[in-house]
Amino acid sequence: MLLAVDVGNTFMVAGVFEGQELLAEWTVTTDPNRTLDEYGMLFHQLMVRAGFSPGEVRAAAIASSVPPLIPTLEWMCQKYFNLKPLVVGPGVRTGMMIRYDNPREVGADRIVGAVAAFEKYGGPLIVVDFGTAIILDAISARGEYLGGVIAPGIVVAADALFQFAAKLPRVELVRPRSTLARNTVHAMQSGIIFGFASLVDDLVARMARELDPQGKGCKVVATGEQAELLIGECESIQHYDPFLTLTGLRIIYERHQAHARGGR
Amino acid sequence: MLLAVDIGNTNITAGLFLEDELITTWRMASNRSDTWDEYGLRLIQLLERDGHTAADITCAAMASVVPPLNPVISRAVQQYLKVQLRELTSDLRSLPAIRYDNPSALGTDRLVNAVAGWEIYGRPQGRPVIVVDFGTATKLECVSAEGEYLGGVIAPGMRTAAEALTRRTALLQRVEIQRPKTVIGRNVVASMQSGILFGFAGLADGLVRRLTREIAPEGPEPIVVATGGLAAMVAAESRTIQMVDPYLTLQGIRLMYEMNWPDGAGEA
Repeated sequence: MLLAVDVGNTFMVAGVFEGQELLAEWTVTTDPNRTLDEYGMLFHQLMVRAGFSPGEVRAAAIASSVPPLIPTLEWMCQKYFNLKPLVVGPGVRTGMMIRYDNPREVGADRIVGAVAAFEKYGGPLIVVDFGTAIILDAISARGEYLGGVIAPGIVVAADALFQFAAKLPRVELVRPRSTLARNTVHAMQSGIIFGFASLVDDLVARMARELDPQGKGCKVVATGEQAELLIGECESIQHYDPFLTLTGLRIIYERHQAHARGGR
Repeated sequence: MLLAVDIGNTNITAGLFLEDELITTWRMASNRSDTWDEYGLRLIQLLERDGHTAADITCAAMASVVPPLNPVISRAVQQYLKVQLRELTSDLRSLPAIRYDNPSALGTDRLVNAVAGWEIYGRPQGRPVIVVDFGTATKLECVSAEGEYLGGVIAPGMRTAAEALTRRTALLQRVEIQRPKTVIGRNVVASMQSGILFGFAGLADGLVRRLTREIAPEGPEPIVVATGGLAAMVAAESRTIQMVDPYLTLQGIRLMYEMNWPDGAGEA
């Protein structure tokens, strides 16, 4: 069994794979202050409750947007699962050519998601990850990672709006009946839900013009913990794949194993 | 001369009007802990630096979304410029009709934008108007060709959202808002610039299109006017914004003041 862990800025998603099948997944809070014992016990207990024995975990792969948590999770894997995890980062073969000014600067989660999306859907392709940030990545027809766009996430932007604007209330992020609003709560729901759906659709359209200038057809895949808030409103999104990063970690782990076996 | 003061969550923008002409503008930080003496001194120094004196100011009006600053700025204007600062509220005379659930709850900043959009753009052309204000929040206001306020939308502001993103993520850095060469960025800074500038142009365009379908399904097409510090930059990327008027809010304050205190120029 492979344990895959995707550490985002707000949440950490972990999943266990048997072969290509994702058997279970869990979401826990990302907290750089938590210790390896706390995370170890958390994963241990979640697995036991889901009917798995932690002893079945033979390998682990990690991608992290939060660097301080990498050593914590490495030690956790050593102590609680008795293995050394594959940490996706500079130097790890992902099978994807990175066309970025400084390839070390691209978040590992972005590459991992891009690898999975290209393998599943082919290119040219745009991956939209709805998380703390909304990250849109472009992958060419030949499977090269070309870079992307980073916009504020819906929840982050909404929180900033509530915090900064002295007179505005906190509102629940739900779709209002109309765009035009005649009260403040409705006006903010409209601005956040319809506004961000438009932001995403427009960025996808602009990226597609650069990525696929002849308009031959560019695939658009969404993922991320906040995707469900918006995908119903976004017209540009063709597929929703909530576990893209976990799948990418599995694929990269398999490639790494094949390479280790094949080479040296 | 009329002093118009727009107290926003981030900045206080002030402007001097000679009749309906805006002759000078200043911007100060909205600092809730500064006193009336500090604001008064700032105002008088800015005024004198631009070749005016306190005696030139005959009347003053403000629209504010930061209530705690209202008494402070009022006292500063009273003590240093010797005029009464009229506070504009949504209960005063403004547009012919306000279609809002509770008109008193409509922010004065939004109301004065609607007033200026209609009086300056919509009314002369007999068309509805949508005002987009790129400030601490991105605010859209709709006014019919007949001058009815129809409602609006409040979305996060560009700078506010960009800074919140920087604070909440481990790897991202603060960036200057400017136009990157391409939409697809090959470094983190260019990617964020793209997301903010093109993203918010798309956000505004999408909201304007949706509002247009709701308020004017059979035309005439609304005039779309953008205001706020970042308006010109976003307008260059937008497909719906037709005009940029960076000081529309100050114009709205002047117009609403004139509607309510028609003899205001004679106020001592």
